[in-house]
Amino acid sequence: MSTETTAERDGAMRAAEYMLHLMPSADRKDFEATIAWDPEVRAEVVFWNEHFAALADEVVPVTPPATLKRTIEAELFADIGNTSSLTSKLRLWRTAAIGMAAVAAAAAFMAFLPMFTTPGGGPGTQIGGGAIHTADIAAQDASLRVIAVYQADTGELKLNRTAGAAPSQRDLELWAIIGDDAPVSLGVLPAGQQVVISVPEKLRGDFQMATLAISEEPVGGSPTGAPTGAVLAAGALATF
Amino acid sequence: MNTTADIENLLSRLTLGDRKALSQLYDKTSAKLFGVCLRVLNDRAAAEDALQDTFVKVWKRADRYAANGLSPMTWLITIARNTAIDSLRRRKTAGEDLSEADAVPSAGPTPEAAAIASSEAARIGACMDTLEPDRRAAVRGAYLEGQTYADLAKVHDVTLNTMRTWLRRSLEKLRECLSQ
Repeated sequence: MSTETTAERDGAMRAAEYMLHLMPSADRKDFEATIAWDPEVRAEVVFWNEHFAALADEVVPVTPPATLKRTIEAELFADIGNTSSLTSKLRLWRTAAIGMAAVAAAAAFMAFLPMFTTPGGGPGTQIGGGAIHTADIAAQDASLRVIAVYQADTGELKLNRTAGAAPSQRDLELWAIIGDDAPVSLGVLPAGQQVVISVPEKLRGDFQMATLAISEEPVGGSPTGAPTGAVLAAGALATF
Repeated sequence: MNTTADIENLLSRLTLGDRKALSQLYDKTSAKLFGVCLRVLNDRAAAEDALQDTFVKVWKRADRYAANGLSPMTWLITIARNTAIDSLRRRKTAGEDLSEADAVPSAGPTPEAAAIASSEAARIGACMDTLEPDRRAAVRGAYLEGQTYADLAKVHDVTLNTMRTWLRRSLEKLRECLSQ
């Protein structure tokens, strides 16, 4: 600590004040902006939070009223099957997926190399002249992963499942979310590893901007036309 | 017992929309987090509201957990504590614009966090013991009860400026002790 500058020590003290909620709320907002861009300040906040969290060890646990859990679940899940909440969840996925686009493009190329190169001819000979868009539809824990390649000129969506399968007694259903529209079903995923589906004409206009998502559904697919089960994986299409 | 890995695993399942994971996380952590809220708010109904808000935030922000650099239990405690303190301040000064009760804005992981959480957690107790009893009580009051400089000055019957000096010196001392 002896080599520390006054500025560094001030930063550390501000981080401690922030952690303790001792700053006026306007300063607190300003400080949050600093945290966002300054990794050293952020590390100071983490330092204080981690150490002080141990003080909570002495807080006596108190069982909350039994009804509270139901209240929370009702608040969060009252809209089972409601597409707007699902869409907002998928929007989060999509944000996360943008960073993955480059990785997805590379992964898609590797995954589809065999498909494009058979039968005969060099790589890419069957791709044709249209633009190619790819998506890495992956669960965060990699338990399910489907690489999708969309060929705009033919409206063909090639799917290559590289990991995962439907839970027992359930089907996997593929959805396209375009803009703020409700998810549109592209059908139940067949059991095979590689499948090609034809994207409905009316979706093709903006399909290259779609986020693709996979949910688990009753056998035969969602009975409501909207996703009803958990969203297991999602990924945004990006230009290959 | 809840291991860090258990909680981390449940948080990662939340990001996939796994409702069962939320239920399990609630079973494992709600009593501790309710205790934290009660300690700050000292009012059962208000603490229940804060706990409800806490779990709603945890569900909605689970995707940010991975990047915020905190260990999982610290993240949960920080959200519960911030939510309770914001509620407390809102009740005290109605209408003031309150900051988002986020733990730490997410941007880049800090692997040190896990190390601090696991092996050095006990240090805070030993370091707190190096402070004068009234200084120690002030720091604890700020953390556990969400007291402001003004609250603390009143409780300890000193001026606002004296209380600021107390806390600043105490925090400097704590930081030096914790960093050794």
